[in-house]
Amino acid sequence: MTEPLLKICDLTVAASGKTILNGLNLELPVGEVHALMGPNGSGKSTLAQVLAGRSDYAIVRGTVSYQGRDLLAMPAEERAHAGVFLGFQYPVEIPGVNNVYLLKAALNAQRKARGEPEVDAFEFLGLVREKMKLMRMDESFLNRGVNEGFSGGEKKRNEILQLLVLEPTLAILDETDSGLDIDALKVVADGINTLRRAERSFLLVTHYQRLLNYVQPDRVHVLADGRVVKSGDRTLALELEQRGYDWVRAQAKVA
Amino acid sequence: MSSAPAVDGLQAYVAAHARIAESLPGGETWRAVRREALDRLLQLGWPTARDESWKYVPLRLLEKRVFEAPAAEALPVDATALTQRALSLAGARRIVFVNGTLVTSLSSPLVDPALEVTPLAQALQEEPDRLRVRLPVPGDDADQRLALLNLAFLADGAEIRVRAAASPAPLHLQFVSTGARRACHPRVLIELEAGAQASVIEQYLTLGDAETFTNSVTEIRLGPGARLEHAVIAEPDARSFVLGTLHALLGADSRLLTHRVLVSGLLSRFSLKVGLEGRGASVDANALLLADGREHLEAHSVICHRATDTRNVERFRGVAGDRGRGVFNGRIVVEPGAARSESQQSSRALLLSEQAEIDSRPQLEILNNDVKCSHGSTTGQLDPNMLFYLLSRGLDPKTARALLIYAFLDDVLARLELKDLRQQLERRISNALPDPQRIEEFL
Repeated sequence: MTEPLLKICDLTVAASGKTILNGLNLELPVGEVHALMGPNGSGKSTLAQVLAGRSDYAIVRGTVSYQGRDLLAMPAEERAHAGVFLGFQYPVEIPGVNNVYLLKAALNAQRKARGEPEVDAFEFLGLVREKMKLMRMDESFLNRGVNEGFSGGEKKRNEILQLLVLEPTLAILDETDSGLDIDALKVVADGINTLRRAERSFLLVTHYQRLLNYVQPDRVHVLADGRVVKSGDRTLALELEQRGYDWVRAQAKVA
Repeated sequence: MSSAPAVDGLQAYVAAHARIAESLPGGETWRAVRREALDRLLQLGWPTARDESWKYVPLRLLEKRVFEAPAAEALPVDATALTQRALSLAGARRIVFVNGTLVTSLSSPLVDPALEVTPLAQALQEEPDRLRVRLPVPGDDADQRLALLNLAFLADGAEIRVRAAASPAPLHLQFVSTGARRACHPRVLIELEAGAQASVIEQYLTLGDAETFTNSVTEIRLGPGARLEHAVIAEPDARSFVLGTLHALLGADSRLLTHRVLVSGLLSRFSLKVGLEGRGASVDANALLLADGREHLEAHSVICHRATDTRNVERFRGVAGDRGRGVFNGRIVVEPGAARSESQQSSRALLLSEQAEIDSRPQLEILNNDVKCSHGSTTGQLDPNMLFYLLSRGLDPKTARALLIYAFLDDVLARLELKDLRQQLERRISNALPDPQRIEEFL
């Protein structure tokens, strides 16, 4: 069996003295889409942030291996260069930093780190326009500050736009579906499906199974109290939708 | 802070005054005006730390130094070096002052049907009585002491009058200080007649390792419906002082858009006083400071609503790193007769090091109930959420930081309506930040 793209072993993480992830184990093989579900406060977003390199958390123990490398030892920007992408649950507004320039700088920083030539402005603009069309984003987004004055749905589309342009190897999407109406949800799902490839993996962090109607996962994991308490195929998501999270928790406690 | 008897610091000025008084233009009339101004200043003394708006000013730095009074003839200036240092504004008419003296050989031709520019030395000489009426005698409050000092040494400057409904090319005033320990006291009068539109940029810079003291006073008068974009850019060397007093009187439905961009200086301080005198008068007062090393930069303002339906929007943005120090002091006065006035002030400061400091002090005196006033003030470090977002996209920490600092300041630079000026200032500001080359592609 080939080495998984991402392998998390016994990951235990604390913030402000409080344990949030508690002995979490997870494997994400190359080319697969996994959904990570769980009730509020189960540690889903913390995991996403820790994987992307947020330094506000204390790693108490455990390891994370990405492409065989020690992911936790890499600073956030190196993880991005190595193909890790986090789609934020709450994309931050950065007035004064142009949306499209940031995207170009991000793409070029990654290409440079991989030893590839930088894209020129003209070529880049063509690329972005094409992807924006796919995300049904208005051209005016090109000239605005990063997420500045965007609605909730526009911010999420902008995250997927970045995903499409940066073409990461591991995409972690943190509740990208929350706060979207059904049309926007379809656009976002289409964006994700466009990128599904044999060499690319997704970790979809979500509270509801709604997104999974449009993006079909290979595996579903349930997170509770800081660890994976149950894993299964996509029917598990439907079961969770019907029965809620309590029965999984109860089962986990018995086990 | 200054605790020595105030008059001690002024003795050097008395001596300098005695040496040059006879050689200054304006005859007996103006000798008397200058003498009176000096006497008043001696009575009142320098402001002290007890005067609110001078609380943080390291005046002892200024008092410790003895500056030479301006020479009768301007010191020679390397025109090439000046061109390299000065902003280059396409289509603008430039007027160059060297140590306060208007130098026609370095300036653009001043003939223009839309406006009248008179060297102040000439006006003092030819029309001493008219100017005596035209130039107000400063009041006794602490903020007027520098204007008194300016009056006591008044020798040159410019009187600019833009004719009714005219809109001439932008005027770029370059105040160059050079030579060891030179002081100068230039004065600029800007008058826009009814319906006129103009842009005036005052740039303060030094050539050579100068250690100079520039004490300027600018008086602005806007006629009904006139519109002025006015900018001060202070970028002297790190051993020099630039202290400026700006005083504007706004007529009915006139609009002043003013920017103070303080980039450097051992002490750079600009104090703006705006009287919204006519109904519907409006001011946008922006200030930006960037204090590094041991620089001390201050922007003060007093906005007085004196008529109905007047409007004021003030923005202060400051960044301090190293041991840099910044001060914002913004006072808004709404007089009883100024019903339906609107006044907003926002002040944001960004600190990049432990020892950097920015003090911000809003003061509101509202004497009419039918007004809308608001103010907000924040001081902090770079937002960790913004920083993480940029890092997660692959930007390295230095670029991410530089970009966020720049974006913070650009909030004020973006208000510059003169496009050429905005672009050049954006470049200058980015070059003054750590790691400028990293954010080049964002500009």
